[in-house]
Amino acid sequence: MVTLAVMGVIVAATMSVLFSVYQQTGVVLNRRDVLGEGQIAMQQMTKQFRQATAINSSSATSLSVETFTGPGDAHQIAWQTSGSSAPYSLQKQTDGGPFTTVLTSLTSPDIFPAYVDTDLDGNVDQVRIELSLGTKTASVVLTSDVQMRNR
Amino acid sequence: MLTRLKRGEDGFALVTAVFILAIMSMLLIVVLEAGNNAFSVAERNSRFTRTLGVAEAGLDAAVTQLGEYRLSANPCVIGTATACKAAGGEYQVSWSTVGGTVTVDAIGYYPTKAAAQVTRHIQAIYEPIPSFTYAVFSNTSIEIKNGEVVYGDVFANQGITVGAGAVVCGSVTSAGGDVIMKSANIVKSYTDATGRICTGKTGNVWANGTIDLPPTGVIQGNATASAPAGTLCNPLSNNYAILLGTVQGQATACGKITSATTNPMPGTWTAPSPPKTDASGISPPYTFDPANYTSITCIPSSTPCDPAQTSATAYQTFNALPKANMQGVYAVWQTNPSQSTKLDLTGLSIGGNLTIVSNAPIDFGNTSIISTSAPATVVLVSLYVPGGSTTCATNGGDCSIYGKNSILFDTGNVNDLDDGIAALMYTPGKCAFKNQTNSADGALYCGSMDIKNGFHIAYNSRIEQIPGFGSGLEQILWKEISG
Repeated sequence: MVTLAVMGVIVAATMSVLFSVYQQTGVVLNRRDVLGEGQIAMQQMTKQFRQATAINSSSATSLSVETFTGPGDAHQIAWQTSGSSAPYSLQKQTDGGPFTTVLTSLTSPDIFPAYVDTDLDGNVDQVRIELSLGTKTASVVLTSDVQMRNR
Repeated sequence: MLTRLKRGEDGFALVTAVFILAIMSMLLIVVLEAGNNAFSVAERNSRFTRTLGVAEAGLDAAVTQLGEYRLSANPCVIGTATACKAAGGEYQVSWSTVGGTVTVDAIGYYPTKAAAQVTRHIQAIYEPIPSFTYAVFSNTSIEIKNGEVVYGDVFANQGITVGAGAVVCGSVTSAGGDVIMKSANIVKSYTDATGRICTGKTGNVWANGTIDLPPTGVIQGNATASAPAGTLCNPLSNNYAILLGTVQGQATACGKITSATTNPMPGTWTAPSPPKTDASGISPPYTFDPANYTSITCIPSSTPCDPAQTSATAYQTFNALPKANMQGVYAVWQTNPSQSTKLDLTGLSIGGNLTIVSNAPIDFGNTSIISTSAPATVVLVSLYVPGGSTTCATNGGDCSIYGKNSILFDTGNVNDLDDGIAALMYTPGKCAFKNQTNSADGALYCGSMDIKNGFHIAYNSRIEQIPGFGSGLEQILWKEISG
């Protein structure tokens, strides 16, 4: 009886740990996926905006530039957020084509909160990208200040 | 029987403990691996970002080298085994020059080229920093003769005189003297008899002395009579004053102001324009570098073309060349250059971009109209500097650049800045042009100049960046090739 009781306690504890791990694994996987998507989007945006030769239009929720995406001439690239409430989507457009969704876990639509003219020549040459990513348990903010080398 | 059963339960707790320990160990491994994975991702991102800095360090190093000497050796060429070290990695660079445009490729490696974990390749294109912003520049004084029309800015390190009927659509700046105007106008916009339009200029006059206007003289922009530092300004003084005429903009003088103007500020000190000169006697200085040119006709022949390799007959070799539809780059290095060894451009017509650089004088000879078959930039550089006791005037003399037959460069459509000839005539020595109706699009930069009445010069920004002038390079494009 004692042995059975002890076993019962141990099994209950083990099951509890396993259940907790199962839940936490879901949280970790969600966080990994959301952060991974956010980091990939951030890398694409920083690389494209860093090379931008011209800004076509800009706001807190969208930015369209002429930039290089490989060999050859510059292309029009736009990034914007969509949605009326969280979670908002981040979308990308190339050469005036349709917007495609890159990620869907933004908690704020204002991903371009600041445009700065650092050398005071009348042209914006720095843009702040702020991706506010909502995971199952928390919101994580990725921020990058991109210096536009061609402006 | 019971004893056997009891004996059979012995060690049960140990099996359970081992089982639980195994599960816990697996969980521990999962937790540690998750943490390690997050760390790896963060580290990889960090390395990726740092490698861009390494590649940019390569760009900066290359540009610094090229700014000092365009033919400098590259210590770590892309494609070789040698890499240069930078903080956080290694880089390799390569560059190529087309005209004055330099394209630099840089590859950053983290942590080393030999064991690269991250590689990023960037490319930047550089051009010479714009050096020519004035239509007329003199290291000494300038006399804009009667009836002359200048579209663009005028600068002199000494005084400037603007003759009767002359028009400057632009600004007039004297860094070291008075500005004297004789029934002339300094305007913001103007259209001449040929229909050539000039707009958007400042119409400002800035003297390091007095601005002396005739009663009919007009300055459409601001007039500033500056004074050297330490000058005690006196609103009643004729020194550093603005006298007579009309100033339509702000008039500010260290001395008095008698011009008709709405808001005069007499007795007000302002700093004069700093002079623009250097050891060569003129700014910007010129540095001959054969790497600036894709192909070059060097007289006498040397590889690379070396100004120290001179010839007593270099001018004869050049003068024997046909001058019709001339194009390309010519460097002529004459032994003991003088007026008897000058380059003769008689019969010159243009077939494409033309650059002539020489230590000998350049003379247009009997040339009058210089036509072109295509839009072209013509750069004439004479590094010949006559002796101080010699004279160079409209009738000739010891001139570095001289024209006597109403030199008319083909400007094409007068309002099209992209067609016709844009000419830069440059010498740290002396230049002179005889007879009226000389005309050119471009700029005239001389140590000193004497120009007969009616020379029309219209600044053309096609000559603002000329290889060899100014040591710096300006980045015009930056792009990431891969990574």
